[in-house]
Amino acid sequence: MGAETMTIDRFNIYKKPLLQGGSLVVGWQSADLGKVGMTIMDDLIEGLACEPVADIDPLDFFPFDGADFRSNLVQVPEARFWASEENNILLFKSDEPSQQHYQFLTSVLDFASEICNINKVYTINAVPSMITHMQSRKILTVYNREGLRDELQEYDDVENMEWEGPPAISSYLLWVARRRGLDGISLWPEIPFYLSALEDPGAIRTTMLFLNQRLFLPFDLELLESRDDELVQKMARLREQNTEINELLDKIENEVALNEQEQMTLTQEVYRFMN
Amino acid sequence: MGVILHKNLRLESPQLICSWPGIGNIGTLAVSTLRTQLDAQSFGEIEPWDFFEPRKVVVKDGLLEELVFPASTFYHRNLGGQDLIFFTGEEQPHGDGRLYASGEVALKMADMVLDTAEQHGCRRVYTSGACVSAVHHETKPRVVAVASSESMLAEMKRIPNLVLMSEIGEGAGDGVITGLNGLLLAAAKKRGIEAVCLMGEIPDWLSRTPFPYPRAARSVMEAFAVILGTEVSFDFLDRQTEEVDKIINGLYQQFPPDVKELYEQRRSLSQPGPISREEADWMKEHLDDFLKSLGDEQDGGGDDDDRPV
Repeated sequence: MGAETMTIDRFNIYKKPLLQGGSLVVGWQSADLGKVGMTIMDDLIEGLACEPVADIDPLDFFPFDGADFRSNLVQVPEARFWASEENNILLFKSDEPSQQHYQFLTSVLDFASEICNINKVYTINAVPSMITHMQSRKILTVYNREGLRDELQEYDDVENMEWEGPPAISSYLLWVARRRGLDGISLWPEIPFYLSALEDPGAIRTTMLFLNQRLFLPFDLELLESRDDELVQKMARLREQNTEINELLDKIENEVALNEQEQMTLTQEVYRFMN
Repeated sequence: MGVILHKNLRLESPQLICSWPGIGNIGTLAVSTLRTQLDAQSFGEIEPWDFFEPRKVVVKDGLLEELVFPASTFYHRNLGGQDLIFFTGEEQPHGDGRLYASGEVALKMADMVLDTAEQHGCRRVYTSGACVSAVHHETKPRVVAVASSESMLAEMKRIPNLVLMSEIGEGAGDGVITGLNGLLLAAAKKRGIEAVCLMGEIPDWLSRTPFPYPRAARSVMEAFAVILGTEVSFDFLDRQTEEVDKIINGLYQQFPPDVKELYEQRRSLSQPGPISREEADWMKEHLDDFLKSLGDEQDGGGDDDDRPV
């Protein structure tokens, strides 16, 4: 059941970082609700002065049958490791593969555990919720070893996930990690559903606070707090200008469920206003 | 990538009986029912992750308890001194998004099944599937055989209600068996292993619906009972047939009258064959929109809360 032979030609390795018993933090670029995964990865890369250490060769895992573009820019699938030796942390910022998922996830853990001596894996995700941007964000967690439950109970705003259904790639990664004896925790901060396509600094801040505490990171949360304040102020202006939106947000605050049309209206209006 | 064997069995020239899902799930229904009745016991499986994506995750109180993949399982039963290996795949591996297995991934699975069978001394393989035919849904489906050798064909011809592919149409026994139920035959023949595919007839229009067709699975199971020289109960498949017949007849009642009239002529055909080009065109013209509307109804109404975790 253990690790299979590592295929070294799957990687372009720029540096073998000196890490010992460190943590791997994974963020997925695809379906990144609230831009939680990518913002945290970018903030960590910059804030901890991480350097790129390796790429996974995308050829086996992504379809090369054309070029995707976003905002007029051609996109190339990314699957890159970054490291901060000082903070004993490895980051993996990646698109979700579209084929050979098991081999891809195995490659991620091959590099992390065999080259970088990582023994814990964290994934950053987000889950839409019927809350407003004024409410505190809980982090729902999935973990891959019974003993991690007690460890997670020590943190504020953390709740255990209940789920039976299609697996996300993060759950698949945790499962592969468990087969190799690696601990894994997926973090699913709640985001107000209407911020799914926008950045949710509240969820990002809550998640970053958890990572700071859990991984002893020195990440400065001040900038995130000011981004959250900015969002709150903008939303306050929207509420003033738009009575319908104000009423819909009132409903959520009073725990009245919105119907599908109301959810759509709120999401569209917030998106329009924020852009 | 590999086969995990939970038991070390010493078998004597076992016969291998395989099935993967396909049209009407005829092979799967027949083989699984037979396996269950004979109380065959699981002794191994093919590791799924190189072939399949996980279907489901179970997270309870935060703990990732289980990741569920489609199973590909080997079973064994000694039946009156005769060793039998059953292999059932819950899905066909389809790396390129097709319903049926093809290409490298399909060959890999076929090889793994045959490697395991050969390790246990197997020299004969059966697969099972569907033969799309111009039959009426209330007539008893025949079993159509394709084999790896003339001697196997001669042997199969002794089975009641079984015909060779060349006996049922214009194609002189030419055709293609799609997916692993066919591919395994070719892979077996290449290794010098005897191989037969037993296909239950299914009416053309039903081959494009999502329903199982237990009526044909019964015919295939009857053939297996003769081959294995054993008695089996058909109660389960008969009950399923009753249930599915209700749905089929409900649909049939909605056929346009001119289609019904032509279709009813099939009852009197003594030797209905595979679908000719003309029949296929006719069916397409008259029933495609109708069947598509059924498919749309089936596809709709998905669960809103099906986000992956």
